[in-house]
Amino acid sequence: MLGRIWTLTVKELIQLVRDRFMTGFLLLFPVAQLVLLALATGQGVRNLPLAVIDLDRTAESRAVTQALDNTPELVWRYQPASQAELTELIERGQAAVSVVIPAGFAAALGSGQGVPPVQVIVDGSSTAVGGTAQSAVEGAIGDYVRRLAAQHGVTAAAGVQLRAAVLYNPDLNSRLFTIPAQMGFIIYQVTLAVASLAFARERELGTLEQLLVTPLRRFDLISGKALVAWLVGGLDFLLMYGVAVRGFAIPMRGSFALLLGCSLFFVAVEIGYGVIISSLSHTQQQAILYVFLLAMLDVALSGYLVPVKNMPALFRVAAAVSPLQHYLVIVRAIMLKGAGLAVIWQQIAALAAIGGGVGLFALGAATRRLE
Amino acid sequence: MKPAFHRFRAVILKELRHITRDVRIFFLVTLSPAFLLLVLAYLFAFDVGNVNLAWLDGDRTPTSRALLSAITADGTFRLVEQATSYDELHAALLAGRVDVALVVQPGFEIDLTRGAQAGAGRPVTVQVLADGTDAISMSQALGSLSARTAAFGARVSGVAPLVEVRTRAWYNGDLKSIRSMVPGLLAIVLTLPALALTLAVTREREVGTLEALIVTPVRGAEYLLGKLAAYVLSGLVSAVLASLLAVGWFHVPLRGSFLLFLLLVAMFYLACMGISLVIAQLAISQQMAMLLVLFVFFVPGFFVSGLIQPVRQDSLPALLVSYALPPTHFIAIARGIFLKGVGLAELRVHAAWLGGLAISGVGASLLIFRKEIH
Repeated sequence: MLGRIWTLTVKELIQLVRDRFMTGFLLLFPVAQLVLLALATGQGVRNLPLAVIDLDRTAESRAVTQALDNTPELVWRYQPASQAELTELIERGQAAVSVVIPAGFAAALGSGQGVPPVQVIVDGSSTAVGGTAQSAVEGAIGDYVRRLAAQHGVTAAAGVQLRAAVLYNPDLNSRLFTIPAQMGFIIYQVTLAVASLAFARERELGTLEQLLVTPLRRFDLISGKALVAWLVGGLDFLLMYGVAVRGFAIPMRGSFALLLGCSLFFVAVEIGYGVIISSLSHTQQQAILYVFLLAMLDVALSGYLVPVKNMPALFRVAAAVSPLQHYLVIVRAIMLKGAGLAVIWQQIAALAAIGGGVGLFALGAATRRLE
Repeated sequence: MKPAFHRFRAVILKELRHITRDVRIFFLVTLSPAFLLLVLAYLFAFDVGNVNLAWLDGDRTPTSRALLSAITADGTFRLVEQATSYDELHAALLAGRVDVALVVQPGFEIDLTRGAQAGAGRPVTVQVLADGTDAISMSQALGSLSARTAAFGARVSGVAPLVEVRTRAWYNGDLKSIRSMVPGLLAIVLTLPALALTLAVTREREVGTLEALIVTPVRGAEYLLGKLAAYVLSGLVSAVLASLLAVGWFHVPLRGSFLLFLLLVAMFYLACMGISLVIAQLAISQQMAMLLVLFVFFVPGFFVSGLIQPVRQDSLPALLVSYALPPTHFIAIARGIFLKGVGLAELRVHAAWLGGLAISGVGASLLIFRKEIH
């Protein structure tokens, strides 16, 4: 049996390699996409354009503007002359946040009397922009006032101060989150794309009948097809891992062997899904449709857009059976946290349970459909 | 009637029949965007940003407990673990059970009251250990945590903060993510009709019915433009359905002109479908077409279009990558019209980009197609 599976795998590999264009595409495109996405997303929410109306025009108010400009999140771009001009900047999306420093700001600061409030307007149409801008502005002004108070001995609220130590990613560089997640997404796409069309394509081109009259059993046929998709997925993982660690300095704090093992396992589970799709669809078009719907749902449930714990109950259940979600937790835990088997065994067990179910269903569906 | 127009109309009618005849294609083009929007938007419907909190209290006084309840009062921060040592905190962070850990040192209450009596005094520190793996959520959680502790400190010490910062979020007062996500997600789900067009063209070629069409009097340009028109028309149906869902079900305000929105949806379709047609002609097989569509629309649509993270402004190549993708502009347009209520004047840059992408995409596909037939 092993011999027959091997024969088929070799046939599939020859077919794949002969199609040079497709081979190159399957191996290089994932890497190209990873690089493109990494460059385009950068290191986090940085340099949001800021507009400042300074009605005070004192050294202190200029120092506040400077303090805002010095934060990594904000960059001072505009000095609108009027409220109307400011409104227009925000409406057009040119400024993400605006600050109005009131007249009499410095005078009131020196006297220790109540200072007229500093008005901040953030663009709430994108929550990430609005939220980040808000905390950056409030943080920068708070820091400035504390420094000033310390210099002049002005009474400031004693208050409570936070001293935050951010673990695993001290600079809160969002690349450390996005790149490992992208690796997961890209492996996912490629594996599904290869596996889901395995039989649909042969059926549409009419070569499936030829395969069925060979001594190959149906199980051999399915395993041979699956092995090729598995190899492609594994190779893509290795290539992207190299780019992520070498090219974008994503730390690898855990065991590479563990990550490789988990990745190959994840690819195998996804191939199960692909085989199911492949055997359920009559044409490639149908298979592609299913892949797209599945991919959109899986990306949504992966915990990347919304952490799983914030999802409504029904979605949390759906996320629990999504292999992608578990795999992303594993990648992040191994690469960024240096976690070992003791920490991620639950995710691995979940993958194994899903894989078992999917594998049985895939074999059943595929053998029945190949009759 | 001119014969060219006659043939063009014949192609449109043929394509519309194709779309309505096949249940799956009909679903993909008209209903699936609304269906996916429903599912995706629900993920953002309950955005009490749950942050799981571990608490290590070395002080164990009424004041330290008051700090904890001040932080957890509104449910955004949820206490899930009371730790007794740093080791426990680290284990909880490593396993991902908690996102942040707060540590209050012994003497917290005494320092705070003494500081308040003295009038000035140094602020009392509370230590936070945070899991930085999800950088964007964490920087917002830290900002919110720091605001809460500062407010608590001001209340306890009875001194008003020296400078008051009054922040207002325009268009979305409480920064609810569903309101910003639903218009953004429209750009993602409305790429499905463009996918359908890619598949239709690739299939026609793979199955061999393209030759049959070539021998009819229909010219290349008429064939492509007719197909395009049919998919844009049926795609508009899906845009109306999805918008109804956004406004009626998810209560996203529609502050601008819906007519302008539909006009720009059509422009967005032309831009996407121009790219679709080019892909369909370059791909040798449906498999490759699928991968290309996934790579060009799907993943970048989610990640570099400004849907989650704002478009990167500080690097020209990054900006160009984002701006070359139709969803980037459409997200800005959808948010502009729905939430900000702005008109074409404010959106002209994005509308112009969409127009440019549409012209170059459709133009390129016409050129490739003509070469192929000859």
